[in-house]
Parts: sequence; structure tokens; C-alpha cells
Amino acid sequence: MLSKWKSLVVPMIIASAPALALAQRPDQKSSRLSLAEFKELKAKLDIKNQPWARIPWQVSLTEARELAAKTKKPIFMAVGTGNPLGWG
Amino acid sequence: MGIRAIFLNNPKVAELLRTRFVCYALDNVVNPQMTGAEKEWLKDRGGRACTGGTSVFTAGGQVLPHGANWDPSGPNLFAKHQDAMIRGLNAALSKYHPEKAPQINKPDPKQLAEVVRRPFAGGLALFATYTVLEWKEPLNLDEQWRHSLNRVYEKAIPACPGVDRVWTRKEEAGALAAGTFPEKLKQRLALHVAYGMGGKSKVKAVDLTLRAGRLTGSFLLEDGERADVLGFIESKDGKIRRFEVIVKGIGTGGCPCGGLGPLHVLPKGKKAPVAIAFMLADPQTNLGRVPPHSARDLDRPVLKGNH
Repeated sequence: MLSKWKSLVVPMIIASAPALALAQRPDQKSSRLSLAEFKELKAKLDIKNQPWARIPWQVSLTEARELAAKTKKPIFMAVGTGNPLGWG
Repeated sequence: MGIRAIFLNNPKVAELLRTRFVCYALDNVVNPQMTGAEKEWLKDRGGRACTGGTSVFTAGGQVLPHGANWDPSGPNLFAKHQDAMIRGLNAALSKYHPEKAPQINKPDPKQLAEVVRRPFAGGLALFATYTVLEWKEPLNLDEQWRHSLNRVYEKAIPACPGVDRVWTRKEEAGALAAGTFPEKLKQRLALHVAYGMGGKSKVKAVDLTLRAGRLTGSFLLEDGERADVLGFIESKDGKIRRFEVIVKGIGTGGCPCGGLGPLHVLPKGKKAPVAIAFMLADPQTNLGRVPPHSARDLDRPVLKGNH
């Protein structure tokens, strides 16, 4: 029974080998990331969906002071060893 | 990363900051983006912080105490920290009185041009963002790094992607618009991929194909892990209108500090799926103007060339 199974399956694998090789040609390669996964990860990684990114940040001290004087608001400063809007 | 994840990303804190304050972010070590005179003015207003911190002051320079130095404890630490920040910000607002005509000296333009880095004219600014996926085991942060904020980090950081920037030159943006992915840009993305996967293993091979606006392929790391890529890069009238590239691979925990974002919470040596995105930012906006950080030592000429 087993030898009969082998006699059917092994030739099928051998026959499909060129097709598998073709599927992995550099110009035909496909990503293991699906479009559905791409969309899901994009939503998770898009900073537009993060509350901190909706604050109108200033990155120049002088411009922040000028804006604060004009709009009559205090300045909140976030400081880090790296920009708090990035690595810090 | 901690300030952004714990406080700035809290919807109530963010809304209070958005509506009642002018918000300013400073990297006071690597890229301060300010002149000597600006540094001097700021030093007694929070500019001397050696790690992360927050400060509130007026345009004229009056510091408004907001109780940033707290030490809450107990099971509701996460809520207590955020409540403390909201109480502190409201306390600062209650003490705020607008000055009539605060003296604000304009920085010397020549000095400013020497210290402020801007995205390349005609180039692209990209956000590089990192997150850890599917991590379900106990984090046990105390075992690797005892810190009073660990309980807070465990909840806040996984919800807040790490973020950095990638800038491209005008020629690179032009090549992309013409359908070619520049080799140097591939290498710069590879720096972020290696960093985002834990930083211990470099990328040894990049195999990316851009065809009809679709980017596919992978980054192969020295440890044998392969990070897969799917992206879409589209242009109109010679300008890039869409740049959305997602990379997914296996990251390794180990560094409890820096900009890795959610990789903070991966115990040392533990592996988990990691996703990294490269997405278009507007170089004219302040978020797009924040200079790249994590690749700074490896790709310094790119930044220097922007002066």
C-alpha cells in the first residue's frame, strides 16, 4: 500500500519541481506578506492613528515662544535623549 | 519613548496639550536643533534634563510648576501617572498669566543654519515605525531591568509604535518616481530593519523588486532570519504620492532603552514577530522635520550633506 502511494506521489513531486523553481524566480517572487496583513499592519503602524501625533508640535524653541506669545498659551516642553517625537 | 507612550499618547493628555498649550519637543543630546543662545535661555527651564522629562513655561520664560516629579505606587499605577500629569498640567494652567510683550530674541540665521537639519529639498521624509506583534507571555521586566515605571511600560508601550525618520535625497525620490529603488536607500532601510529586529544582527542581503508600483522581497539578517517586504510606491507627475512599505520578521529582545518602542518590552533574548513600516511624511510639517536618529552614526554623511 505504502509503495503504491510512493509510486504515485514521488513522480508528482518530481514533475512539479520545475514549476516550484519558476515560482521562486527573482522576477516572479511574491512576498509572504498578504495584502490583508499589509493593511492590518499599516493601520497599527501609522502614527496618524496615535493621539500624540495629532498635537501641533513645534520643533524650534524660538518659534514655540513666538507662537505662545501670539496665542497667549503656556509652552509644554517634552525633552529626551533623542527627540520625544521620534527615538527619544 | 517613555514620555510619548505613557503621557503624550493618552487621549485626555493629548487633547489637553493640543488645545491649551503650545507643545515643543526637544532632543537635548544628539540633535538639539538650537543655537547656543537658545540653549542658554532654556537651561534653567528644563533644558538641562539628562534623560526624559517635561517642563512648562511661558513665552517670556516664567517656569510654571506642574509636578512632573511624582512617585505613585500601587495597582493603579498606570492611571495614577496619567491622572497626575493631567492634574499637573491643569495646575500650571491655573498659574498662567499671559505676558504683555515678552522679549524673544531672534536666533542668528547663520548659526541656526549650522545647527538645524532639514529634510533634503525635493527629497522625501519617511516615518519608520516599529511594533511587536503577538506577544502573550509575561514580560517580567523587573528581571532584566528594575525600574519604577515597569508596570506602566507594560501597558503603555505595546500600544505606541516606536518611530524614527528616513530622509531621501531629491535624486532618490526621482529614481523612485521613475520606478527604480535606489541601492543606497535600500541600505538605509536595512539599517532600520536590523535596528527594529533588535539591533544585534545586521542585514547581510537585501532582495527587493519594484515592479509596477509594487515592492516585494526580503531582508536577510546575519542570524538567518528573513524579514519579508510588501509595499506600494506610486507617483504622479514625477512626484511620489504613495510610499507604504511594510516589513515583517522576527525580532529579539534585549535592549531596555532607546527608540525601539515595543521592543522595549521583549525580555532579553526572547523572540517575537516584529513589523516595521516606512510611510510618507510631509517634510514641510514639524513631524516630518524631526531628523533621523537611529541611523545617525551609520549614515552620518547623509545628514551632514543636508547643511
